[in-house]
Order: sequence, then C-alpha cells, then structure tokens
Amino acid sequence: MEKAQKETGWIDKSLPVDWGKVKEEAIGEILPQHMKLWWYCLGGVPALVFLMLVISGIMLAFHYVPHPDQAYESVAHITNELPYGWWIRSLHRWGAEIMVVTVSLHAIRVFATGAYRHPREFCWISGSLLLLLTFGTAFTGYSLVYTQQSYWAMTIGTGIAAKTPIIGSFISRFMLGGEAIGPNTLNRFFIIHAAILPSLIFLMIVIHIIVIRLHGVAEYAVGMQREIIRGLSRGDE
Amino acid sequence: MTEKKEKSGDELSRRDFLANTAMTLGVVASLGTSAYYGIRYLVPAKKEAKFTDVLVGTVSELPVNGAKEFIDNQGKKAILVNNGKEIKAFSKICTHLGCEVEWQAEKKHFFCPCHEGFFDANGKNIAGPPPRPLNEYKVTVKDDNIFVALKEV
Repeated sequence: MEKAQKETGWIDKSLPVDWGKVKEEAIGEILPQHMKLWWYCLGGVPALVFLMLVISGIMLAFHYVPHPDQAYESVAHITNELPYGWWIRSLHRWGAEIMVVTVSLHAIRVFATGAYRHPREFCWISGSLLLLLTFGTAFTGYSLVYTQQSYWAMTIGTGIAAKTPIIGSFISRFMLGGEAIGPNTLNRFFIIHAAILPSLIFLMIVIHIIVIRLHGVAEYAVGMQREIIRGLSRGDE
Repeated sequence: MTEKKEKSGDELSRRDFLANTAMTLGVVASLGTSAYYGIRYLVPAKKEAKFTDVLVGTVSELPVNGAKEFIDNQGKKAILVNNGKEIKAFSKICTHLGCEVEWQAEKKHFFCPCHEGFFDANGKNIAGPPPRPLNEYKVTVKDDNIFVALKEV
C-alpha cells in the first residue's frame, strides 16, 4: 500500500501481502531460553502429525467402505492388495498413536510446570478440548476397521456412555443409531471420525495457536529455574 | 529455504549453497517418494482377479450329507458338502462374527456355536444373528475329482 515499496511484479500487485512480515510472524518469534528443551515444545508434534493424519485419512477414505459387510474387507483390500496401501494405512494408524501419546505428554508437561495459569485460561481450555477430541477421534477410528476388537470397543464404549446419569441412554442411542450395533453405527462412527471431529480439532488448533501467540510462550513456573538452567547447560556441553 | 540471501550481497557462500542444495534434495526425495506412493495408491494398476482350480477331494469320499474340510490358499478353513443334489464348497467362517461353523450331517445344516447361528445346506442364513449367507467357492466336478476355484494372491 505504501509507495515506498521496492520494484514489484505482477504477483505482488495482485496479491499485496508483505511476505517478510508473514515470515517474521510465522518463524521469527523470539523465545525464552527454556524452549530449547524438547519437552517444552511437545505441542508442535501433534499439530504436524494431525496434518499427516488428515492427508493419509483422506487417502484411506478413497477406498474404505463404512458398511458392516465390507468394512473389514475394504481395510484388508487397502492393506494387502492396493499398491502402498499398507504404507498409507500404517502412517494413519501409527500417526494416531503418536498423536494420542504426544498430546497427553504435552498436557502433562503444561500441568506439571503450571503453564496453564492466569492469563492463559483459554490455552488450557482449548487444549483440554483438543485432548478429548483426540481421544474421541482415536476411539471412533479404532472401531472403523470392524475387527472383533473394534466391535467390542464399540460395545464397551457405547456401554460406558450409556451409564451417564439422565442423558446416558440418549447418548448411547445416538452413537449406535439404534438399540444395538448395526449398519447405522458404522456409518455414524465414520462421519464422526472423518468429518465432525477433525473439523473441530482443526478449529481448536487454530484457536489454541492464536491464543498462544497473543500471550507469548509461558515463562516457566517458580521453583523450576534451577532445574531448567541445569538442563540447559547439560545440553550445551 | 529457497529465497535469496540478502546479507552477503548477491554472492551465495559455498556453505549456504551446499546447505540449500542438501535441504532441497532431501525435501524433494522425501515428498517425491510420498507423492509417488500416493499416486500409485490412488490410481492402482488394472489387475483382474485370477482364479485357479485346485483339487480338494473326490466324489467317492463324499456320500450324501457327507462333508470334507479343506484349507484354502489364504489359510482359511473351508468345507465341501454334498447336499444330495450337488457338491458345494463354503467358507467355515461365520458371517456374523467370524467363528467357525460346524456341519451337522444328521440335521443337514451348519451351526455356529458362538451365538447359535444356523445356515442351511446351501449356505443360506436361516436362524440366529448371521446377516448373510456363508461365502461360497465355485466348484467344478471332473470325473471323480472335485476342483474349487481359489483366488490367486
């Protein structure tokens, strides 16, 4: 917009974005010393893994059939017959495990170092929702393979939900799409797993990151200082 | 990664050149491999399912209502049954939850002990929870020999 800009090409005119500033915002933030320790940066892992899960999940959805008659066969077809199907499925399956583990570790780290405290309530709330959404997505994805394990995971999962006071039977019937596991159930789990929860996770990640960037990275909690300095000097040796 | 270094003028130092080249090659190699795998997965080569006739038994060892077990080329249990009119071959895996069904010759039906599912001599689900008939193999009888068409893997 200012006239004091350098020589600009067509793309700069039609898309007047200050890329230098974007880069500065994206990767130029100055971080406190303790962020050199890897366990303070665990939150980035699930974000990247989530991206990978979305891509591999879309790929899997090309060949997966959410019907009790064909669900297991289609997964077997992906794994055993399609070229590199085993690779796509393994990325998705192991990525899911890594996401659950790293989200949990990240939550434990934030809790243990007191990084959730005022004024970062919204970080903590959106992060807690992300933890629950991750568990929900992992559970529904586990059930889609439709093995014996999946079947009983569905049975037990919906059974637990059914024990919720007052609204339990409603939740259970909503999840099952009826009184017992049937074609409806698999379809529901598929839609929840592949459309609803990932959209919510994406939204929550955006909120989570915006709030983090507004506040800046949390300083470490009082009393942790000595451990952190020791850890850092050990790392520098 | 790819934008020009502005600090040291137009000159690109050898160190930066090597670092950028190595990084670019690494990114191209890894993303390129992923893209190749992904395309192969999404556009699989046309492959017709091939079946091969395999000898699994003889007519003389199958009296009316007699049965003979065999194992297909994927290691799954299957069974030949003479239902009086013809010889049929079925998978022994129950279509409900994958238990092993049992041929009961005197009652002329298959019985699945896990949830009391029943299939008739043509493999049709007649009682209990099984949602569909037993998987069937194509049978060919030549002279005394019984051949079953198995999918090549």
